[in-house]
Amino acid sequence: MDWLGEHSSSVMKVARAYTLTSEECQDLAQEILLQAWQSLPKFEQKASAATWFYRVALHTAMNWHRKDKHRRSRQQPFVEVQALATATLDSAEQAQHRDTVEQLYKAIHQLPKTDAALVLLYLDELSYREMSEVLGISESNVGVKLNRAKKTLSALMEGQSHDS
Amino acid sequence: MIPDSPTDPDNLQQAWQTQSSQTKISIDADVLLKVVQRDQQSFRAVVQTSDYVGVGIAILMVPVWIYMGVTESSPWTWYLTLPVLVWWVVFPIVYRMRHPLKPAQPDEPLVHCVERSLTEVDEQIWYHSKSFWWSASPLFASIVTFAFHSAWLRSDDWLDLLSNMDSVVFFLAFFSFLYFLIEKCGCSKYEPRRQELLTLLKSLRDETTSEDSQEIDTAQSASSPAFMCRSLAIAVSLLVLAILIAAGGDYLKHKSRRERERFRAERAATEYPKKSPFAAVRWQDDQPEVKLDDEWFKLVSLNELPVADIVSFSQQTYENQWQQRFEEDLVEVLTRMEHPPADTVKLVVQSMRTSETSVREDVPMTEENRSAIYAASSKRSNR
Repeated sequence: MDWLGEHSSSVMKVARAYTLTSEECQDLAQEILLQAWQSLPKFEQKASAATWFYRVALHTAMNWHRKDKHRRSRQQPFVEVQALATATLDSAEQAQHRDTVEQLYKAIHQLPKTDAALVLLYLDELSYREMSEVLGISESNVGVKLNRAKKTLSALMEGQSHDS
Repeated sequence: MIPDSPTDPDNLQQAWQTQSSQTKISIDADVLLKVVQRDQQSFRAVVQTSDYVGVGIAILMVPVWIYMGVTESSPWTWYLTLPVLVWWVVFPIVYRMRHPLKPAQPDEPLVHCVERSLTEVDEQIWYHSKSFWWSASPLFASIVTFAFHSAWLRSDDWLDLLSNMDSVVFFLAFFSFLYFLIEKCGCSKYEPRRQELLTLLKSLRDETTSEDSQEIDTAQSASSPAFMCRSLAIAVSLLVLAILIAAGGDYLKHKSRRERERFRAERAATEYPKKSPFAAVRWQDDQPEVKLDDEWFKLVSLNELPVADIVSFSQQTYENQWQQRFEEDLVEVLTRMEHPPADTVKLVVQSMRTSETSVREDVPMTEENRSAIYAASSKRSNR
């Protein structure tokens, strides 16, 4: 089960980016992990594990429907996500980062699904090549789309700063 | 964007990365065990239901098969399927007695539970992969035998038998398709579950052996989309081929039947009148003797045609049946000699008693005479 731990943060980031409530977030995270577990035999190691995991996570998130909630509610969750306090950062910096992350999620929620995917990959510092592998588009196309998505994100973030 | 502002890309990425160390995912092994056990029970229920349905259908089919055989007056080969149906009832029961599906124990370790599930799935894959040989092949043998036997009974000769073989060809093609379907695709429905269990077992053992990797790779290649698509394409092609063969056979059969009917209709249209001037005909070597007014005569000529010419023409035209044609189809023989008779004919005959030759004008050609000749001929040859 080590592979789950290795990619737990990316699962939660994708789940949170594509849902609005913590309940839905847990639900989607579990669905992503199940899909990843079921798809693991098909992993051909042509791409890196992180790239492959992102691909599964984003694909699941984009096809995730809230209307399936009833079906999933009958399935008892076997994955528990715990929030940990970070000891390396002082409280002020931690609070500032937390605020930034919250703003980022709010902005990402307003982006189209594919732009949200690009922004997630960018924030996780994936290279253009890795992004193109995840999304299945050319690197140059990644560059064009990402620039546009970043501008939209910045505008949304600026708007949120002014509002607050 | 202004450097060091909150929306600066570097700041955003740095803030974003801090999340990674703020979450931890833990797996609840007890719940996972329950999920596996529930899946196991569900799988067992599907297998048992499949067994019960198969056995139930076979039991129901026995009286239905007998009833259909009796009402349709089917030949004995129809009943060859009855032992097959009995076999369909017996085999699954015996197999399940030898390979029982044991219920899971609540306190069973997860690894054992997964291993047992995997064994059950593997056994089920074996059971289905061999199902053609234990279930379909006996049925194939009985049905094809019945189809061949029926075709044989419906046929007048070997050529007719060939035209009636379309049902046999159809069943052969259909069972070939079934064989391919079961051998290549029949077990694919169990592959996803097998893969899940293999993955879970691998992660639970927390070690990657080359054996495990090979096992997964092999199973993967068997259930890969490309392989499945190719298998499905071949299976569908075989089925289409079977349908085309059956349709082609049916078309040829109908065409042959239509041609036979057309031939009969044409023959009926050019049918010669069944008439004769003689009350009876008998033979003295190649010389016909005819009965007129209850007296036997040696026939000398008919409508100025010497009897030797008529006999010679009949021999050349009808070979072994020349005497029968002369007796029963005299109008046809004379017409084909380009001397079609009218309703009456002129006969020159020699009396058998007095050897006196006489000419008989306007001897009527009657259907009664011909019927009497036909009846006598049929009696002689037991037709």
